[in-house]
Amino acid sequence: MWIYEKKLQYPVRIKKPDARMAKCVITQYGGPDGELAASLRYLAQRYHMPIPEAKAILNDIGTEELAHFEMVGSMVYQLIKDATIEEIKKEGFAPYFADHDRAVFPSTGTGVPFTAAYIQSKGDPVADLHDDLAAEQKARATYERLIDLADDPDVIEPLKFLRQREIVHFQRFGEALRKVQEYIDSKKYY
Amino acid sequence: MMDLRCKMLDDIRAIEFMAVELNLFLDINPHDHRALNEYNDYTRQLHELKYQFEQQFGPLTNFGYSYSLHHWRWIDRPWPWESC
Amino acid sequence: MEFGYRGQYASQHASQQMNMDFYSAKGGEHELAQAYIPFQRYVTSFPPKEALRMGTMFPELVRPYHKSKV
Repeated sequence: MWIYEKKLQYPVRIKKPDARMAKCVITQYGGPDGELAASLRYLAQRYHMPIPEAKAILNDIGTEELAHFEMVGSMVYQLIKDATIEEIKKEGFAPYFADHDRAVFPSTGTGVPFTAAYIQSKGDPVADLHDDLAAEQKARATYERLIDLADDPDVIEPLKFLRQREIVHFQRFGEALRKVQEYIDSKKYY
Repeated sequence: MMDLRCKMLDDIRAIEFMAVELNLFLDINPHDHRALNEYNDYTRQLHELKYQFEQQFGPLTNFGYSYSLHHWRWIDRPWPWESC
Repeated sequence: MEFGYRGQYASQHASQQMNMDFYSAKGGEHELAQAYIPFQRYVTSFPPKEALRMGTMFPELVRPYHKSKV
């Protein structure tokens, strides 16, 4: 089960409202390569993994992604909470505002709501781990695009942290894949 | 007071991050004793830091993982998205 | 002969495989149609505050990004 700790893994202290950036960052909250998709993907796949190392790493990275999901949600919240209606209208955030006010809702920047269609739990551990490697690269790439789009250091710092985490996760999933492959090979000898 | 709270939370963040990184490494390398010893070291430090923090500022966890002295401080501000 | 898997999933060539992680000495160490990420060895670590700032405790996993200007 999950226990919640009342702090962010890495601080988010955004002082300046920015509806334009909110509309961009939100994709890592509810979009195809975002933290919710990552978390649900890994937590779904963990049940069916054949070796303890793979179960553990999916469980624990899936849990860490929930912490990242919270960070991105906090970023969106802080970016829009003091944005004026004028700014919201100017930055193309008005349609979201119509449906959600200044609340946080899992969707892409263009308003596509989150869907489990973004994830897969194939049951084949080799396929699932390759899926996870790809997911980490896609997330890493998305954070790079967001860093390109941002000017405010208060926004860039947490984005850089989140990006580097994806690289570490990629390495761990790669190692888990090696172990799964070795396990599958070992079962061929009898 | 907020500055002290932020500083203590930043100390906790840093030590907990080491525990998380070592945890992920150990998930793949469960027999790495160096990593294991460091994980346990950081865990010990973390418990101490959290105890100190919670004495002053109230519980960091709920569902029986932390005490809440005097009154139910769990619901008190700030929540993590509001401030450091 | 059954190969158990308690931390040693690889065949009898396990320790050789670990050492030859980064390349395939004989053609047969790495198979075709299979992906291989090298295992990380724990060498050094950043101190805690720097690790948090960098996003990892392991210097060899740091990959800085240089913001695109165009």
